[in-house]
Amino acid sequence: MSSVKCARSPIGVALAERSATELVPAPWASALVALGARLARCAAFLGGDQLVVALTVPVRDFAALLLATGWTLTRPTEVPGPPDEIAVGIPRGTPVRMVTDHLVVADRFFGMQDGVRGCRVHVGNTHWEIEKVRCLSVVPELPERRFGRRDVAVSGSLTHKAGQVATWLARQCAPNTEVAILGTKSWLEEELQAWVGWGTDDVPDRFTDVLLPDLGNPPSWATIVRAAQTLQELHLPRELELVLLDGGSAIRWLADVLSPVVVGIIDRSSPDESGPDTIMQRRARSEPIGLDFLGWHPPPGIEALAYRAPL
Amino acid sequence: MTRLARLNDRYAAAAAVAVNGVELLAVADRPGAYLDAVIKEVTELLRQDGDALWGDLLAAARQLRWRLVTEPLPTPVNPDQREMAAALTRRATQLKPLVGTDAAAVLDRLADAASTVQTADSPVGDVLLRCLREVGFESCVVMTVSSRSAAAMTRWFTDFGLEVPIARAALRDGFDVVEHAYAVGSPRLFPPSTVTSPRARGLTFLFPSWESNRSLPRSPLAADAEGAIRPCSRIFLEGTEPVLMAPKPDVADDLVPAPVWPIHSAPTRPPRDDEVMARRVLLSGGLAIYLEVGGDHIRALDPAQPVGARVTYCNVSAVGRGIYLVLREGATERATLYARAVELLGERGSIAEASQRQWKDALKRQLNRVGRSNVVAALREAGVRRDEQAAVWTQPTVARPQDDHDFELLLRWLGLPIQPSFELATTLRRARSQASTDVREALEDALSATSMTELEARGLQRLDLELPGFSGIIATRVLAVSPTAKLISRSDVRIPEPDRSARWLE
Repeated sequence: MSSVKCARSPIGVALAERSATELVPAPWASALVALGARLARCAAFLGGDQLVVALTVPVRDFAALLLATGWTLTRPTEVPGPPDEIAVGIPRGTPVRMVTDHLVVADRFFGMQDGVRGCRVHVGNTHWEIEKVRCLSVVPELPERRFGRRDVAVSGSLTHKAGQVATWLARQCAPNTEVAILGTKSWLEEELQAWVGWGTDDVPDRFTDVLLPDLGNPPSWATIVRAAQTLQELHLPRELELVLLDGGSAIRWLADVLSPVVVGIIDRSSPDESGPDTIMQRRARSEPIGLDFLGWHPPPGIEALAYRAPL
Repeated sequence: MTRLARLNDRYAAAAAVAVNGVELLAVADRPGAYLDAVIKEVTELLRQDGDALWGDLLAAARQLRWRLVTEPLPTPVNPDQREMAAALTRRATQLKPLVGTDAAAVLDRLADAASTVQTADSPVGDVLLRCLREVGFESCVVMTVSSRSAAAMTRWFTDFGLEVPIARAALRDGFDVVEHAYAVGSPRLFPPSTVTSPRARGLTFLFPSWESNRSLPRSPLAADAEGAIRPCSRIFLEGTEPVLMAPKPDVADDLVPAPVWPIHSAPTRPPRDDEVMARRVLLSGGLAIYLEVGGDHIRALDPAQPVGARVTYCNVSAVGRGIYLVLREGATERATLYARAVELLGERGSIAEASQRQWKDALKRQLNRVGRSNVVAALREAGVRRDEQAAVWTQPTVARPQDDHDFELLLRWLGLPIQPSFELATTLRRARSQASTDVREALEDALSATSMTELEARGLQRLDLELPGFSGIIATRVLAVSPTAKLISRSDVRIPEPDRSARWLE
C-alpha cells in the first residue's frame, strides 16, 4: 500500500447520522446498495417465480434501508407529462399530487384559470402558477387523510450518482409504490433519518427522502414500513415488487409474502435462529440458484444465498 | 465512538476473523486431565452398574470439570471450586465401602484427582493473564460462557486490580470493537455470534488441552451460503502434555454437563389423536416443558429489541439455547386464548365451536383413514397452497387455514358447504387475534417495567399481566433441548413443570 496519501476522498457509499457533514465511508454499505440495484434489474427476468435472497450481516443496522435505496434509485419511474397538458382533462374534485421546486401538495383539483401572470391551477385552497408546477399527477384513489403539503427535499450525491436527478421530482410526485420493509419499526424510523451519499465531498441524500416511507399519512409515499412484531396477519398490497424482511420476527412471514423478490436479513449477533430456520425450510422446497444470476457477490463479512420457487 | 464508526468496526472485525481465522490455545493441565480421565472411568461404571449408585457422583464430578474450563481462576480466589472439589472427595470416600475392589480403586483415583484440583492454580488462568499483559489490557476483552463465569472472572480481576472488560458471550450490548478477544472455554461452548459477529479483530479461545472437541460454532447458513463464514483455526499448545498412567476409556462422555437425556426408542405405534411427539426443553429457574415437534410457533421474547417490540414468536423448530420463551403456568397460552376468543363471541361462541368441530373432525377422519402424506398430496392436487399444514389445521387452537382460498378448497375437498363454516371460523380467528393482541400489549407493558439486564443475568422473570386468565406468566431462557422426542399427551405440551436437571448450565 502506498505511503503517499491521496488527496481524493474515498469513493463509495458514505453514511452520516447526526449531521450531513459528518459522512463516514462504509464499504459494506456500497455492497448492499449495489445488491439492491441488481435485484431491481433482475426483477423483470423472473418469469412468474419468486426470488428469495437471504443475507447474514454482523449487525442489522441500515441493511434493509440500503437495499431498498439501491432498488429504488435503479427502478425506472414513469415521468408524467407536462403539467399544463395533464391539468386540462382532470374532472373537478379529483385528488391530485403536485410538486413545485419546494413543496409536494396533495389535494383536490378544482380547475385551471388564466391569471395576471399566466395560467394557474386551483388545488385545494390555493392557486398555483402552472409555470412553477414541475410535476402533476392524478391520484383518484388518494384518501383525504393524505391531503396536505410537505417540503420537497433536494436530491443528494447518491441520487446524482444513480443518474436520477432528472427524475427526482417525478419520483416525489408519482413514486412507484412497490417496496415494503418489515422489521423493528422504531429502529427503522430512526435509521430513515440518517444520510446516505456517494463519497464524502458532496451533500448526501436522506434515506427518508429517497425511500419516502409511508409513515404518518404523507401526501406522497413509496415504501411501506411495518412493525413485524405486532403483525397478526400479513396483508400487503398486491403490486409490491420487493419485500425486505429485517430480522427473525419479519422472516417468519416469508411464506405469506407474494412479491417477486424477497430479501431476508439475518442479524448474526442475535441468538434467534427462527430466521435462518424459516429460510432453509423454504429453500428445501425450492430451486437454489447461484449468485451469478444476480451478478453480485458478498464482500467479506456478509453471507448470502438465493433460491427461486414458483409463486 | 460514534455508532457509524462502531458499525464499520463490526463489519471489519467480522471480515478479519472470517479471513484470518481464530486461535485456539490448548493449555496443558495435569490435574484437569487426570480428573477428566477418572470421570470417563466413572462413566463406564455407571453404564455397568446403573444410575442409582453413580449418578450423583458423576454429575458432581462433571460439574467440577465444567468449572475448570469455564472459570479457570487461581485457587485463592476460587472458594466455590475448592468447596466443590472437597465435597467430591468426601462423596467418593463415602461410597468406597459400598462397592467392589475395582470400583473402589476408581473412587480412590477420583478422590485423588479432586484433591489435586482443589489445591492447584489453573494453568489456563495463568496463560490468560500472560496474554492480556502482552497485548495490553486496554485492547482486550474477555468473553465467558455464562453469567456465573462472568461474575467469577469479574471478582478475580477486581481483586487483582486488572482492568479488562468481561463480557458474557451471549449478550448483545453496544460495545466498541477492540483489538483482541479472549474467550474462556472451547469454541463450541460459545454461540455462533462469537465467531460470526465478533467483538474484536482477533479472537483466541483458551481451554485445557484435555478438551478434545475443538470444533468452531457455525453460522446457520454457512453450509450453503456464498461468502460463508468458516474461519480456520490455528492450534497452539502451551505447556508439556501430561502423561497419564492408564489410557482413557473410550466412553461417550461430553464436557458439557448436559442433562442425561433418557434414550427414547422410536414409538411402536402412530400417535393417537390426543398424543404428539415432543422434545424436552430445559429452562432457567429449574423448569422444563415439552415442546411438540412440527409445531408452528411459540411466543418468545427478544431482550435486545427496544421497548414495545420485545414480544415476538419463535418457530418451534428454531427453539434452542439462549432463546427466551414466554409461558403460562398451569395451562398453555393457546388454550387460554382460544377460551377467551370464544368468550368474546358471546352467544355465537358455542355455534362457532360446533362448526369448528365439524370440519376439523372431518379432516381428522381423512388423516386417520388415508394417512397424512396422502391427504397433503390430495390437497395440493386440489390447489391448496399451504398443503403441508393439514395436520396443524385439526388443532382446536388454530381457527382456520391462513389463506382464504386454501380454506375454501379444504372445505370443498371435505365435502362440506363453505358457509357458515368459513364465516364462523373467520370470526373466531378475528376474536383470537384480538385476544392475542391484548396479551401481547399487556406483555410489552409488563416488560417495559422489567430490566432486561436483570432478566439476562437471572434467566427467569415472572410477569403479572392485568388480564383475566393471564396471571402467572413467566419469561425464561432455554438451556437445552433434547435431541430425541417422545410420545406424550397433547395436554402436557408447553406446560412448565419443575426440573432441575439443567442447573449446571445456568
